[in-house]
Amino acid sequence: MTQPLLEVERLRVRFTSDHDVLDAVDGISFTVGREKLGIVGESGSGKSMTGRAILKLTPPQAQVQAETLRFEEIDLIHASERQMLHVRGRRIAMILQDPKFSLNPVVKVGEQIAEAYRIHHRAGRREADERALSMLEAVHIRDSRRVFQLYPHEVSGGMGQRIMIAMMLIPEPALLIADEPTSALDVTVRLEILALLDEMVERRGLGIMFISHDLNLVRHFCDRVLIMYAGRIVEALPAAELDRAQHPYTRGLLAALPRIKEPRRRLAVLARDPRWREEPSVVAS
Amino acid sequence: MIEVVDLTVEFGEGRGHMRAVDRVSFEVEAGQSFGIVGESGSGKSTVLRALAGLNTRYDGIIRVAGAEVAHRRDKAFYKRVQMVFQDPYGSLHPRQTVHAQLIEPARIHHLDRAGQRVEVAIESVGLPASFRFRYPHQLSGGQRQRVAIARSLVLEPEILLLDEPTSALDVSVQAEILNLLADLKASRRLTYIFVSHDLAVIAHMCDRIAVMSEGRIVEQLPIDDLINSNCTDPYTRKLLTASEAYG
Amino acid sequence: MSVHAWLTVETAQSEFHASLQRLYAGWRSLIRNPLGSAGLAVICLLILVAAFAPAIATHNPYQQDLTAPLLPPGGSHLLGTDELGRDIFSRLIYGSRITLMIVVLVSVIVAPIGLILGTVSGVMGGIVDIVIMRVTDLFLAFPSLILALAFVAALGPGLENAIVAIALTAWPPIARLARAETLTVRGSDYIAAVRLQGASTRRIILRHVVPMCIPSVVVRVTLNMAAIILTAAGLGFLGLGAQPPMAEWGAMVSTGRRYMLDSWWVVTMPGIAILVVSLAFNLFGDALRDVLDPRGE
Repeated sequence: MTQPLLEVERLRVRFTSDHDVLDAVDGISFTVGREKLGIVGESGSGKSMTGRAILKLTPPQAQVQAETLRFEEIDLIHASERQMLHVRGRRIAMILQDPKFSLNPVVKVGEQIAEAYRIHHRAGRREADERALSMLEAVHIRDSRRVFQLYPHEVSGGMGQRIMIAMMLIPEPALLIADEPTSALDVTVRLEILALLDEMVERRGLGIMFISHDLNLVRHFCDRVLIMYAGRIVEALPAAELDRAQHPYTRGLLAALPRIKEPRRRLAVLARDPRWREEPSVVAS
Repeated sequence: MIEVVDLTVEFGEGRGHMRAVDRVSFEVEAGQSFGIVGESGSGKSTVLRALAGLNTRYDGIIRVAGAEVAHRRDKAFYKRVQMVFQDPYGSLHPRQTVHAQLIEPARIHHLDRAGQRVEVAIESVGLPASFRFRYPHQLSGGQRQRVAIARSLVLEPEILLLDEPTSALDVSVQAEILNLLADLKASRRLTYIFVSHDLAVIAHMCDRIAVMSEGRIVEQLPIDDLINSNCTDPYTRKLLTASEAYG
Repeated sequence: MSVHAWLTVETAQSEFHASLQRLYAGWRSLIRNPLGSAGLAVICLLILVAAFAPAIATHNPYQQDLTAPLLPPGGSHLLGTDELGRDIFSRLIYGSRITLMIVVLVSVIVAPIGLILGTVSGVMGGIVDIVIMRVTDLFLAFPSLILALAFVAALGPGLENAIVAIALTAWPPIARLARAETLTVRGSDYIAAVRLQGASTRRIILRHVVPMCIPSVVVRVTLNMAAIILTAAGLGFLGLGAQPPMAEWGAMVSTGRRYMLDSWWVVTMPGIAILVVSLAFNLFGDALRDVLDPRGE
């Protein structure tokens, strides 16, 4: 295998309060290559915190430790805030759940995309605008000149997420961290956005970390899946082999989902085993 | 049990005017579980809020057990019809204990044995009795939703309106809540109107469904027809395909 | 079982137990804030001083001694004497009673009025809302001191009238705040839920909306206390508040200013007292906001 884009070894995100110590991420190790890596877990599993820790966007009271946290040639753990500014957006981009909260409400969306380009490239206004327009076309927005002039509140959720993707991809990052990018969208729109992400990953040779609570979504979209529980990776396996998952947590999650074509009288209820919190994290590389 | 005829809800005036619900009609028999599925903006929640009387500005007729209900609902209506909301973090009063929130409906309706009713309600949703004097912030999302369900049961209604009751919850918790709702329906002979954007959840819970898009019901069908892909409307097909793409 | 354990045990046994636990948790986070605790300490001190004024004062605050006017601090007069030879320290001690009375009375009048008007306005909406809010705007349109001045001028000078005047000017911001808070609460699902239980508007306001507004109103009133003290001092300073020979801090500053250049302590000592107490209320109010803010949960 070629050199991975991102290498994470024994990553820990710790919150210390008066009474106790909580490890939101508890010593996990994994790598991301030029692939679609899914990270799945329920709320509180530490999946989002993992994505944030990589970009050093954790809340101020969190302590981030790792033996290795390397992105290409950059040692993220020892990188200064200045270096991180270069990494964020330019090298590693992040897409969040709801574009409404990520776009500046008083700036036209086209200008925001052009701005994202100009921050990382020396370019004139006209060139940046041209780039932004072609990027809007690349994310399959018809009528890109009209959309360029719209404000964020004038676009629908699906369109907003396309714009976010355009904005995140225009500096040509090598890795994309997508944190629940389709959870706020309707099912029919969701498919389109996933297809778009898929296309972008293929065409640009990106690596993508796809963080989601939705096991089924991830299994159809990703190459490889990590299942997180209580800050640990409990299982790592190729997405195609998810049906052969070994860990009871993974199996429980799959069984708990209602399915249209397989009606059941009752849904299987996940029995949580306290031992899962003790098991060492699976190394996924 | 419930009959809705030509329900229309409009919002705003002038340029901002929109018809959120457009001549929606359906019937739900006693003991049935009726699902309304649709995407955001389809008007499914607006139908439910009009049914509940939270929005009194609607046109059309709503009948419960054969009798038309007035736009301004009376107490007797609420004794019959209760609602469970989507967000368990927003539907419980943050400064009241579980006990205070559960005893309130009994007090409003001057019911006897109020304390006992609270105990029964807590037990029937599978919460330990020790949770009675907790505040919502001491509970998890799933526990909160159980409290919200318990609250809707205190008045012993016949009809429960469920507005996306599990969409804010984790998958494993969703399974528990759906099982609970199925058990309650059987043990208390409840009639459900279940609104969701998730076709799989609706298919699991309901006997009949209505598919809504842009304020209208585009198709009504028994659940077996959905399972066998026996639907005619193109939008229903699209929704089914999209939901199955990773289902 | 220790009291602490009883107050922090996970399972409350009764409604009363649960609310005590809540208070205790709030108290613990309050005293973790050093500035807030300092403010609280000063307020407690003020209350103690007011309660035990006769025991603490070294002299009779009204006893004139024309043989010893404007004595500097030190000696038998801890903080010196004023132009009539009265002991400034003792006058400050007794003055705390008046200050406290003004603050408490104004708050007791203002908080319920503002709370009820604001919540009714917010829940009812429509014409009720418009009428209440326009009246509020009317009061807010004038600077509060000017308005208080006008009221006192109409009612006649005196401490009671000053209190009434301050109360009349202090309620509109509270009503506005309560209304704003109500508007965010009104659309929430838990209010919809009680509405769906068949609760009357009155019941919704009193039992469900008001409890949500109380914290921010309490914080606002606490922060307002500093302003109340200053307005009272201002009225006293202008001779429209407490009348001589009452030992009111503002009035003391007012009379002392004539001797400011030669005898600085006459005006400085009550000035410091006003400063410290208003600062204490401000700090305490700030800390209280951090503890009570429902969004923090």
